[in-house]
Amino acid sequence: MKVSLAALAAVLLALTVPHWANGAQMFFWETVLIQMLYALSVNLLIGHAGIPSFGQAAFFGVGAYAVGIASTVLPPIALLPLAMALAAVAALAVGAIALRTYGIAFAMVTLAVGQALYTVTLHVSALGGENGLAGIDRGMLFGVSLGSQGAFWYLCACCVGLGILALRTVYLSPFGYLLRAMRDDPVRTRFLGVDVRAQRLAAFVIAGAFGGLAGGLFAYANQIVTPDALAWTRSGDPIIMALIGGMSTFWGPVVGALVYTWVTHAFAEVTPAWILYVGIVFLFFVVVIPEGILSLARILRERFAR
Amino acid sequence: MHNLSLPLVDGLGQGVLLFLIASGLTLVYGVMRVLNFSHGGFFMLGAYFTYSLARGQALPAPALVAIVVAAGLLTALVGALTERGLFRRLYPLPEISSLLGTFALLLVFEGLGRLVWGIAPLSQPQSPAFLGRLHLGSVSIPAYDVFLYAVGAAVVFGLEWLVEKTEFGRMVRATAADRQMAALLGIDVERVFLAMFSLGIFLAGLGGGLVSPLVGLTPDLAVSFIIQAFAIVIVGGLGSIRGTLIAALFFGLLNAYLVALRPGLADFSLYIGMGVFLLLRPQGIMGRAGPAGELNA
Amino acid sequence: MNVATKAGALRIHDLVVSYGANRALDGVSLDVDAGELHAVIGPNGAGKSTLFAAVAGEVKPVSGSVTLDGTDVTTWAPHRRVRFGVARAFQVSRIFPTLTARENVLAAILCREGKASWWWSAVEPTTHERSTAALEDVGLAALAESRGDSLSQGDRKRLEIAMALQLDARLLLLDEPTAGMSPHETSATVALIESLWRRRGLTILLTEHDMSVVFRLAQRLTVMHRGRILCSGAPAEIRGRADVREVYLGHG
Repeated sequence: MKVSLAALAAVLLALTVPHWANGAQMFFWETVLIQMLYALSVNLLIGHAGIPSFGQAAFFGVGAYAVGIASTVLPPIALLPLAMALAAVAALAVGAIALRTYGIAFAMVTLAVGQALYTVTLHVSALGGENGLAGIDRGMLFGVSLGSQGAFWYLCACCVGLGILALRTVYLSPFGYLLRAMRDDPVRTRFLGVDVRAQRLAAFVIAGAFGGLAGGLFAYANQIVTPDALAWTRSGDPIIMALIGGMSTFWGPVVGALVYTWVTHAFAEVTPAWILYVGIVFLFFVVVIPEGILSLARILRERFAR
Repeated sequence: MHNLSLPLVDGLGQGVLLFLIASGLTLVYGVMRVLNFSHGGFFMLGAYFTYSLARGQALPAPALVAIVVAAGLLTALVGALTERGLFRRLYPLPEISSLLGTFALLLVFEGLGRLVWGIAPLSQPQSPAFLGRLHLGSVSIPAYDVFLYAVGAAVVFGLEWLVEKTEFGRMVRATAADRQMAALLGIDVERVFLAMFSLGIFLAGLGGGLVSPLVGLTPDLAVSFIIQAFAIVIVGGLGSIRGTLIAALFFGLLNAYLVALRPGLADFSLYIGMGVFLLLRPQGIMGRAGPAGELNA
Repeated sequence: MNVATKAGALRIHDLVVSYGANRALDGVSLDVDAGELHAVIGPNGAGKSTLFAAVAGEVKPVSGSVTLDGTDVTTWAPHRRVRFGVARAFQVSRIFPTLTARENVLAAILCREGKASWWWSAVEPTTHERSTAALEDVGLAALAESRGDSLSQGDRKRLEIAMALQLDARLLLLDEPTAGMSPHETSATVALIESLWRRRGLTILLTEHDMSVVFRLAQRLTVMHRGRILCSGAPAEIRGRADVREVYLGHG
């Protein structure tokens, strides 16, 4: 396993955070990390597999609510994997049916699924309805209470790190290669002997699982989960992040998540109309830099290589 | 019987409103192959323009109607400018890019709504004349609903006439079927795009104006109706006016009946309905099998 | 029991394929021996593409059967047939545009190795080496790191053939391999096909409009017309037949 300098630096940086960041700042960085993981999982589908899923918030939500429901009963070390598993099962169920369509119809079906689950969380009282489930208990890990901000930071960073590692492994694996091939030309891939539908379903389940992990961490970080976790904008945000960073690369969504979360927070503090400026920035990227920030980096690198 | 007729009236009224929003969307897709996420933003503008023109006052029905039409035209103007300025650049891009681009534009509209009109809900009072009811035998229908039915019918027949019976309609159908061929035949494709886009946006603005006396006006309007509109357009078959009408009426009625009989299911039903429908017939009610349907009225 | 165990023997029996009311294949029967280079020709609309689609599994026949080396594959999905040894090259080459030439072949090799669903491991160095060798086989080594969409039509054809070969196919379906090529490219492609055929001994079924290519490569020839087989045999025999001429020249 190759360990790059950047990865090492990131890990070291992560270790120091509780020493210089206050509670609010740590929460911000936890949010960034969670968004990175989530955006990576969504980009697995949209950027790498060519599957336009507009409803990934459904699986994010399954993970979040799983934690919301069982946090007082199970410790995170058991609950987070459970949340992932539940999200994976949900993705399997949805994917088995939704993947019978493709293109825009598929995008709309996934949007519909996301919205349907959203309305469920709004109306079902067992899930807390509009107010959601509060008082999420972060419990203990190896005898250390995770209630403190610092302790939870380490868990969060660790989980996200493992998640990113896992997704990177998938990206570099034979499966990953064939996934990108499938995005380019599903017919050709079929004629290489790949069961395209099964491949897509597998990708969908993997993406759902890691979306669920992100959702679970999100619930722990906020210590409350509301139907907001499943709002359709929650499906749209990671797509924006992936686009800004660069959909065709692996690290694009990571960069995009960082930029997007930071920009959104910065604008939100200034004006309630922040959504206007976010929209403008996003629009700019779609029209002018569709390949994202990382493509700019690549172009610059090529310029300087001369 | 009386109990069941209320949701019928209500549902048809809702259906007409949904149709107005969705018809513009399907029109634009049918001709330009762009699924315009920001369509909801224009809907919101129509509602806000109506409010601003009426100054939030209750007005006599003819005045309100005139204002709603004016709001629709204003919105269409904004639409035309947006088409020239932005949508032009989206046409050549792959489908997902135009989807994302219009999604970004939706956010921009919502932001504009917040900036200009604020987050707090505004209310545009209904005209006194429209508050009355019409009595047909044992059924009493709110006057506004009757008005909506009339508008709906006018739009359906108007569009059908435009697309099927006029010279312009022929050009539109040709462009929708094959834009390169149409250009070769001497059709000014850019003009057709601009005209159809503006028409679609006019319908959205009109829908917004017509909704304004019924709901609290917030920037959320941009977003709340768009997903329903999408559902209707897809189920109706992209590019089909008739399909959109059928789907809109169906969903309007379904929603109205569920609200009356099983309120908990109402919201849910739209999405389940859409999902199930698409699985059984991905091309929609009137669509042709394949990636995109052609414009057929 | 059918004892046709040599690689790539194709037996099509009484195949009927309909598109709605139109009978694209009207009871077609054809035998291709293992290791044979067989060409299917005929005017446009004769049913050649449909025949290929049926052999590849893209269309389901109304009746009839397709048998490969004694195994009935008539109801098999395309990807299953590929695993069994059928490879396809398309008239407009289908390759992966955003992947490099090397990655294109890599995809084929990974599929051959049955690793398409392996999401946990990395790609081994030996596989990378194999991809280089595969490119050299078709003369594309110099373009290994070029993106698929930057390759010329002729190079894409070569890449597609390289991918098909890496699948260790027993039966290769070539759909108009020299369509749209210059005389120079055509020669090169014909030479490539011939040398690979001789080296590998696989069965090739091809369709072509360029008669010089057909007569240079084909051991046997089948002429199709209006969804039916007109005649089959060695190129020399077919060449002289009046009914074949009629089919090509008689209908303006």
